[in-house]
Amino acid sequence: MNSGIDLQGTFINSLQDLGLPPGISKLFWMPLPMILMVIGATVGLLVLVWLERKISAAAQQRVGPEYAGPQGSLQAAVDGLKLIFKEDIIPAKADSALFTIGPILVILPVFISYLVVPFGQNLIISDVGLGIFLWIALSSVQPIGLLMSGYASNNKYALLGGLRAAAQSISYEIPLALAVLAVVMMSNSMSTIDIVQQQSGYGILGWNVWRQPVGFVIFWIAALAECERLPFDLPEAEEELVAGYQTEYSGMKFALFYIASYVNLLLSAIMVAVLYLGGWESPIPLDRLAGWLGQPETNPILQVITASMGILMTLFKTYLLVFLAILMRWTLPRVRIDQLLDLGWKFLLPVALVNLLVTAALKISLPFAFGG
Amino acid sequence: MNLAEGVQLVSFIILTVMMLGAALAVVLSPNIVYSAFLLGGVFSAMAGLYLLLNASFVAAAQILVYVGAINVLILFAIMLVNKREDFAPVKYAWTRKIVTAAVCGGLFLLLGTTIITTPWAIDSTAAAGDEAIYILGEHFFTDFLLPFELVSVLLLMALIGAIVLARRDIIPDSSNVVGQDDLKLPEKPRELVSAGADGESS
Amino acid sequence: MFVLSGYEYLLGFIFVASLVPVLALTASWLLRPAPSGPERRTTYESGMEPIGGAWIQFNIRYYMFALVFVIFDVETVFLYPWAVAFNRLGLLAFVEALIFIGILVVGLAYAWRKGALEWS
Repeated sequence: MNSGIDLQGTFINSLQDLGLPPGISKLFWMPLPMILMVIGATVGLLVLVWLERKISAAAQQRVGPEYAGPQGSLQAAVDGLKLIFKEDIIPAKADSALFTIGPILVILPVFISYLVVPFGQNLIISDVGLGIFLWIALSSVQPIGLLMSGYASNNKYALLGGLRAAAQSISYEIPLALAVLAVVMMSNSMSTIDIVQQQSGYGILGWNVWRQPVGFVIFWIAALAECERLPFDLPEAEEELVAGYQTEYSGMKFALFYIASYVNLLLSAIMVAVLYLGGWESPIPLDRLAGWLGQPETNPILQVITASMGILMTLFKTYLLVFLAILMRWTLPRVRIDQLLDLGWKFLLPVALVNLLVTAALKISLPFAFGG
Repeated sequence: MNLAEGVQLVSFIILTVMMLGAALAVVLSPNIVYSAFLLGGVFSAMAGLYLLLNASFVAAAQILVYVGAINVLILFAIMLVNKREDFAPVKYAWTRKIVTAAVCGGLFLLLGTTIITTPWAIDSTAAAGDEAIYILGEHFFTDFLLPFELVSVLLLMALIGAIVLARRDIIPDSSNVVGQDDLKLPEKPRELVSAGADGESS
Repeated sequence: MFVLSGYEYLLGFIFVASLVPVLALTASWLLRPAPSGPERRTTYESGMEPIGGAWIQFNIRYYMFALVFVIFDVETVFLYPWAVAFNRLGLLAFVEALIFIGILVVGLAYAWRKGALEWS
């Protein structure tokens, strides 16, 4: 199963044919997937914001954004442009250095985590051995940024919001990590590529969601809580805390929080797709289909089709999950802080531990179905 | 020296400077909140150094545990007791500083000479890299089994100890409660345990 | 000797990702209007005159959760090598991990009983 296009190898080889040493050719290649991924994440964010506004409008029987671009699809970009031109207000009593570093610390881990997002066998920036653990480790840095901005604002709402956000984030990190651990155990590897490949071969039947239904639900709830999505958007519960840690922010610094939260939602949806919904795999295994049609795996057209299908499938699953998250936003009422912490510590944590142990027991008793 | 080694050398220098600078700033900063945030910088730089030493799992665990958990705990602790008190200047503060500097310098010299004089047995086998986590797992459940199980007992003890110590603070001693006269808020606050330490600006 | 593969991309991506906030803030810095008026820089307190600062003592409840979190975070880190290498370890490792998790569940039960996980 080593088929698929190797863009990196081809690119580096062609540069080497021009007489460049291997190290330099690689240096030319390296920025390309990174910049592509950052641009991709930004475009994904704009689509996501537009979708959220349109679907929210539909849920409330409104029209939603309409004038900027066809069906208001440029509304998010226009809003972003507007925020660039906004005055930057740093409250007189705030700590201006921490006030600026806070949002940067919130947004950086989210973007760096895209390093391990796979769109295909070779369509990943870098398949590092840490894989999914890198994402978990990086996402644990976010509470520091939230605490920093909450503290630096020197505003009671902001500080309380920051403390709440950090408490919420740490409460759901452990169920999240334990749910991931069960998947990691099944694929015997932390690499995101290996996790998807472990689910391949049987189409939709091989996906982890059938073998890890409990883990899937735990992961989805914990991911929503980590993203501070409704029903878990307590840190910015406007009736209680104005806008939480964002209260004093305006202009581009506010935009950084906004971008971070939506890019994080996108990332979480991608991770759900990768961990439980087979990543880039199609519901019907494409290579078998090609085999029935009598096409060899080395057929270049087939490889291009497989790679594009992989990207499309990943995006389709991701946006399906995003759609689910938006529907949940308008369906479920916001939980209270004590309910939130009870759910995390007294329900999800024990259930996640049991799920992990059950997975281990099943792996011993039924090794063929649970990754050997 | 090829490109990769050059990049590693530069990364090492940057990380070392960052770590030492942040560590010094942690100690010397007068603002305790800055110290706590800078401590996160020290931990992150340390994670980078682990990564340069081929220990990718340890590096990520360093970020997860030290930056993501312990530093957050420290920040919570500081923010929750962050009373802006004006400390009265201590008499003979300089003697304390000199003694502290002498003790720290002596400790540094002692550790430095130990590092130089110890004949370190450097393992010449190639580092395991990303395979290290499998080797770690195998060690945990064979020859390091007892320490592994003891870790859980240690964690249990830490948890119980922490709860016993912290729960005592939740029920405040009567001497610690701020008197009603000190509260300068127009109404009694519900969320705050004690407030008004710097309410003079109202 | 550096044997890890693929981490040069991590270094590069940290740079590329840092460009996002840096470019965003620089663009805004070049294009935005000058700050106006001292009133805008007052702390927001729902239209009231701010009473006191925010740097005061808050409730200790948050601290308890952070304490319990540290313990369980360390536990998950210890479980990662177990989960990844599980197919090489076998039944004995399962029992040993069961003991490990069991001891910590006792801790969770203790925290629960003692009310460390209660909000009120």
